[in-house]
Amino acid sequence: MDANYLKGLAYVMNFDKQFIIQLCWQLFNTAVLCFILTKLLYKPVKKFLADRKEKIAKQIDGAKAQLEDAQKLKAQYEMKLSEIEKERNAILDNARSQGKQTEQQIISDAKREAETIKNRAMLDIQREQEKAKDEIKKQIIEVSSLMASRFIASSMDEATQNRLVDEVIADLGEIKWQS
Amino acid sequence: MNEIDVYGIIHIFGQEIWITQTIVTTWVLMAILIIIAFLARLQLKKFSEKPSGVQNVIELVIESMDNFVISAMGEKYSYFANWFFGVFVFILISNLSGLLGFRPPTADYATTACLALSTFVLIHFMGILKQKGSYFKGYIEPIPIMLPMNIISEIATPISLSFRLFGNILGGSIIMGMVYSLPAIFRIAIPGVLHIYFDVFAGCIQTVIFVMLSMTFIKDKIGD
Repeated sequence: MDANYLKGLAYVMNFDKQFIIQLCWQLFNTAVLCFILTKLLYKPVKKFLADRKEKIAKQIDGAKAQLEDAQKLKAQYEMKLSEIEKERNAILDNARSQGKQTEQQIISDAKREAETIKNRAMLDIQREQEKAKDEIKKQIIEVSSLMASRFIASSMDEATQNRLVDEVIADLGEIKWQS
Repeated sequence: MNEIDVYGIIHIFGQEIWITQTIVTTWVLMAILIIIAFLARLQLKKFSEKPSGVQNVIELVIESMDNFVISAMGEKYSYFANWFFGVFVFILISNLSGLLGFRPPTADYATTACLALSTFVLIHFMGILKQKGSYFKGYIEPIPIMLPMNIISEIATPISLSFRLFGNILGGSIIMGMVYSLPAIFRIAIPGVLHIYFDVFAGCIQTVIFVMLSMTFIKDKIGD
């Protein structure tokens, strides 16, 4: 190709058939470039970014769900703990009131028993007293009959009489101490 | 000075096809982009759950583009990102290629026209697809007499889109060419500042504007 001829063709802007051809050329070039850039770079990188975004979103969601679960579990445990506390308090209260009741019962039982024992003792004492009184009466009667028999048996002067009375009294005292 | 050179002529089906500077530059830039994409793809295999280093950069680029498209078109139409990612990167590297001494492919009207045409096709394809009958009704609104106006405004869209980008980049490269043809004393430091403005600043801004407007126009026609 003649270099001078080509030089003569140089242009800045023209609107002829060659312009249309150039336009188509550039259209083709641009289309090819866009296609290659899209296939080679744009789509893979966008896919990578989208994948990563999704992955991170999933991780965040997962973490959130786990946190929620943990919180739920914690609330559950706390509720259980408070229930246990309540139950414990109820049991303790129950035991305490039962203890008190038992104590009261024991005390009242003991009191009643003591009363019974005391009553019985009093009764014994009374009975013993009665018995003693009876004994004394018997003794006195005995001594009286004895004294009477003696009075009757012997003729007595005043001195003898006094001596006898003294004797009886002395006897009486002895008898009283003996019984 | 700022003409597009023709490097060769091939014939397909008897049709003369010029291999222009734009085409060759485009191929070089495409090759660079594809190599970068390939290297990034190799990195993807080493990607971990905890991003670091290169992974951060790749993720940042892809996520920014995704968010850009979603903010302009909504989550539902985020699949447009596949197309606009390529367009965005291509326009950006074309505009910045002036820094490396290339003649930016976007300073050739064929390139910007092809990009604007693709936007134009997408606008009306999506319009018919999503709006169906009311798409055509839109042309006679608010009153039927507005029909010619509406048609002109639809046609104006790709023209303004393509010429905005083309004019900005071509203007920048023409000014840069003029600066480089100045005496040597003026070629110290001054071109650097101008490169920052015309190639980096205007280049980035025009890229964003082109892609943003394309998405907005398509979104407008989709309706919801």
